Amino acid sequence: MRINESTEGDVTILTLSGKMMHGNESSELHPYVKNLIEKDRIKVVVDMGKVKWFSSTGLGALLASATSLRNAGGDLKIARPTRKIQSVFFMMELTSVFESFESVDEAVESFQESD
Amino acid sequence: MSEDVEYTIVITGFQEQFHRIRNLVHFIALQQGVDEQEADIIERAVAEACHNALFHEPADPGDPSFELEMHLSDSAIKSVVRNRGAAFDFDDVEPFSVDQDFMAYSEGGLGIPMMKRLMDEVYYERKPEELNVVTLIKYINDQKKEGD
Repeated sequence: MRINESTEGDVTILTLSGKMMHGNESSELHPYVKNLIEKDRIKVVVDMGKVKWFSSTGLGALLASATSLRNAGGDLKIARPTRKIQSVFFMMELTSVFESFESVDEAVESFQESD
Repeated sequence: MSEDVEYTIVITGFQEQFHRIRNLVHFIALQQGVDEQEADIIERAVAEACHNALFHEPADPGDPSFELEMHLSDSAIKSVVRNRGAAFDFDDVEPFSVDQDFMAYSEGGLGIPMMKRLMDEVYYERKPEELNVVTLIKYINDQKKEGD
């Protein structure tokens, strides 16, 4: 898994690509987010449009990242989840935990609307 | 269960073939008449069981493998994943809840709760010679468990 970072105002966009599973560095996501929090970057959009597969390890990393950001007063929002990712969110009743958007722009704008 | 014909498919899986096996499980589920979302769910739960077999202290860490057996009928898709390795802490795992502290999953541990949530029935057996057997059942075509 690769993480590419970009910014839009005070929102950090993390574009994930590849496979989020054990042995594919998905465990790097949570430390990466904690590092952002230390820099006071607490509004994060995770773009999942290029994620080919994510296992429970990847989901755990997303959940822990969202928790850390919310504990710091920020939030994590999901952009471009694939159908398979949406199926998991639905079946695990996580649609209320992860606010999801069809595009990165919409996810970024949602932070501005909530300010 | 209704009276129906049962087919069995056995696959030996390795890490390099993981995505092909996932795709095959998805395809088989669709062929059994489930919709895309349900096929996604079955694929994911079976993938988690295979993932555990490959990554949870396998007996041969240099060449981990598993055997996936699929029993197909008009009423259910039953998947059995066997591997040799450390025992899984299956029965003591707390069910997944959105109200719990998600930090507990920062380094894994969500695989078994996910399997239990996604499938209708999940069983684990520890057999001699370090053999783990995980059975996952999804009822299809509106079939219910006996007693429902």
